[in-house]
Amino acid sequence: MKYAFFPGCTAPFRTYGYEVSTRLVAKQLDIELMSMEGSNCCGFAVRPIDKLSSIVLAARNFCLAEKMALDICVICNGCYENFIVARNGLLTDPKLRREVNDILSEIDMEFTESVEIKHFARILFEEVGISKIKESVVSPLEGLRVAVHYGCHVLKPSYELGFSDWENPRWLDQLVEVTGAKSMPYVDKMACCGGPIMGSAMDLATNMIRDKLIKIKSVNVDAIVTICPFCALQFDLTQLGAEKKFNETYRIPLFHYPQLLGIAQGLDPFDLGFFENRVNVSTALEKVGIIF
Amino acid sequence: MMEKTQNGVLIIGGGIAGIQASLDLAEQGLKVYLVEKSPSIGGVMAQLDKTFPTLDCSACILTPKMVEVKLSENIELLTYSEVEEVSGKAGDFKVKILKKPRYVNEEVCTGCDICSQRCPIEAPNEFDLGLQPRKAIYLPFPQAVPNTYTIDKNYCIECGLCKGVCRVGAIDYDQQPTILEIEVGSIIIATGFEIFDANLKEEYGYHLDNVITGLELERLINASGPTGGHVIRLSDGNLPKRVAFLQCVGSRDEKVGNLYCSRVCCMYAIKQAVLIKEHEEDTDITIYNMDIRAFGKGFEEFYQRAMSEEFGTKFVRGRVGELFEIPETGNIRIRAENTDTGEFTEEEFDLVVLSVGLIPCKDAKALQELLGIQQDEDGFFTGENPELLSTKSSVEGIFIAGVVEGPKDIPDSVAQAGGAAIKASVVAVKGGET
Amino acid sequence: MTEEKVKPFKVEEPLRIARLDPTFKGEIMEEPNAELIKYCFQCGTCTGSCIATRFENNFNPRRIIKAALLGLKELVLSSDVLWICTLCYQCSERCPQGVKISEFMEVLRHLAVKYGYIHPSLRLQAEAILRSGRVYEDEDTANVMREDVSLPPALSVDMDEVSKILNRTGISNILLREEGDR
Repeated sequence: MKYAFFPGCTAPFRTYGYEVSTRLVAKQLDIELMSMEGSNCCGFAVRPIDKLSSIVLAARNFCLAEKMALDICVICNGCYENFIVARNGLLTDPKLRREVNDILSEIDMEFTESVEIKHFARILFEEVGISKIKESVVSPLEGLRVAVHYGCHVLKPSYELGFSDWENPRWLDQLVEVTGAKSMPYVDKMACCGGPIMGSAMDLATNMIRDKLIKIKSVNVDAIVTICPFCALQFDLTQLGAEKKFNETYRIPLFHYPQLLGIAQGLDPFDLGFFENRVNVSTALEKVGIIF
Repeated sequence: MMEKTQNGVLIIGGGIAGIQASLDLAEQGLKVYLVEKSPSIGGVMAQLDKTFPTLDCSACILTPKMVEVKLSENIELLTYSEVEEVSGKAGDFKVKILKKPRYVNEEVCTGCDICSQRCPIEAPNEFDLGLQPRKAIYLPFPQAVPNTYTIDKNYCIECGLCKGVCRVGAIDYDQQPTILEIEVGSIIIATGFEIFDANLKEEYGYHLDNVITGLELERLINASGPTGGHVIRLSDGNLPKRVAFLQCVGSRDEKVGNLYCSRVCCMYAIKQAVLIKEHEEDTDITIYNMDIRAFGKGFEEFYQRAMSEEFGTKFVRGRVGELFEIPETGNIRIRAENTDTGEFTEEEFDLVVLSVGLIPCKDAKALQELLGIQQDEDGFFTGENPELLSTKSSVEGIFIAGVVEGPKDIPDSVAQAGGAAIKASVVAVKGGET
Repeated sequence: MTEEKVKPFKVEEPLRIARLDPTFKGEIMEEPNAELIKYCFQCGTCTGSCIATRFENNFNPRRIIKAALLGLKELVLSSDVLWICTLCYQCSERCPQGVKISEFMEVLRHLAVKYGYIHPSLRLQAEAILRSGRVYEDEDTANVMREDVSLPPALSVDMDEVSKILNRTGISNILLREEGDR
């Protein structure tokens, strides 16, 4: 299994633990992640301002992957949704496709439909499969209670992404449970983390994550698990902001999913970049016998 | 065997529409074959507690008609049977009917219930929507017609207890399906409907204990139902003090592919609200709706009465966005916009009732193929001129009545059944050329 | 710490017909996804499903659709509430009329940008992309951190190519033009 690896902007610049743990876990499961030299923003960040620019930026990345003759593996829900929406637009709207290809011809590129977009977590679930992941688990995380957060853009819009199961999905919970940890149900599990409005309405974004944190805390978990660097920042960094703003204490560590899987695979938590996580993870790791 | 009949009419479906059409035709002296796939006639109306807007007892209206069907010399009642094959044309249809084995001899069973009392196996009770069990050998409900027991082979273990206890020797584990061939002049389809599967609206949490459908509420509030007429919470058996109704569940909803209005949900929800109030006066009831469609005779007055001080039902204009359970209490919190004020609301309730819509039966498609008649885009049967002649199917000599033609309430179903009966009798008497 | 206040989204009463722009609806409906708002029957499913509404009652997708259909162009495009939608698609997924409300909100943002109401944070983000091809520009700091976790330095963006294509889309003109307008 080999993919053109597109880590996006946020993971390589803000959530180092996510990127490094993804790479290590991929290696464990024989997934080769090849660098996309020269790649640019997925286009999500300019989409509110100019749709064409966002599609052109996405399309350039598709062309880079096509040169590598590989499908793209993303680890950010924002990249995932933006890429697929852009690709669907190019596939269904001939006028848009001509326009974009005209612009890309400037740099000798042309969009074709050959490259597909996969989220790393979906690759784990669909391509690698639960049973193979289970084989890779050497120290099951028995007794660890986690709150799973999917993130909106890995599921929705379902009519673009091609899932029917967006209201009560189970696949990420299954990926969590194969590590031996227990996925705890909680109210508003599917609610947005507020990440997309961190820039435009930080207060509101903080209020949203606080609400999720309170609900997660009430079911008494050891950690939150995400598969998006944006959601992760909300749960990790903004958690500290919310604690300060509301003078409350939540202290729920955030695990990027590959970190969770990594420790179950017996990888060194130091290598998995746990020390980069803002909320202290040592109590949670202690629970599964890891001194950190 | 071949039964030759000149003026017979075949009626498919033994709900209120099929029953009414049968009785009307029989009264004219015509031979009627009434085919019903389940063990008893009665249909959904038999499951209802009261009718709207008059709050008449549903069973009190229906049961005498069911008995009349049984007693009528002109009606041959074929329950637990299905139409297998239809050929010929108007005035001269040849029909094969499959009589499924009941494993109980209909001729001799007296309906004494001893078999069921001895049967050690429990199965979900279809009539009570699984809210209480029945035995593997069962009568669907006490007023069932015919008063004949049926063995459900999906559950029966052939232990022999029922056979041993039956005083008239009615039990026959080796009963075989039989085919009955008949000739009729015309056919009426009155196969009714199913209720919308509320699981398809995941945001309405039907999997939760304290979220039920309107039809389940009918069984709970019915004195002969599983709780003896007490509307209770399935999570803890307590009486709910705050009840919410969610309208248009599965109706007027592009997401589930049903754009039509089911026409009965507004009124049945209002009726149920009133009934709950009559049972437990201090219950707070809120009905979340897009608009209340009180279009029938006496409906608007009934709606006004539900809103009046007498019943004090609260109507919130707004379709519910989502709901969730509070794990500690099992209570349900509902998020919706009150579109009259523009306020987002999150209210807590003890019980939530989903006013599910009506959908075509799953086997309507098979019947449609068998008979070659037209379906509309929603799957209801239709003819060439539904605007003028709703009882006429697209095939000469085949008529339609009741919800199979489109959602409607009991009075409309009965009226349409009467219309279909007249049309069917003309063809049966005069032959194909009408 | 003071909470940022969101300006109420309120239709002034009485509604003056002279203030309504009948062309606004048409402008919105040029976009295929936004066009679906014509099917809106104002049931409130979107608002009832909306996380932003839950925390900020001034944000009401149903009302925004109604105001847009009425032609309240300035009210809609100048409103703060345009920028607090998280685009989580909950409304689009649940709308019983198949209206793609999130997509419609995005089209409103494009129109707001067109008429000089760009949100400053998004301007900054777009400018960063024009300069460096990605959202974050603190490459040196990041690379120190990346080394800590044994990650290779962040890949550099081929800005030569990115500038060429972004010149063609005209996004820099959009950003420039707006500055004067507001």
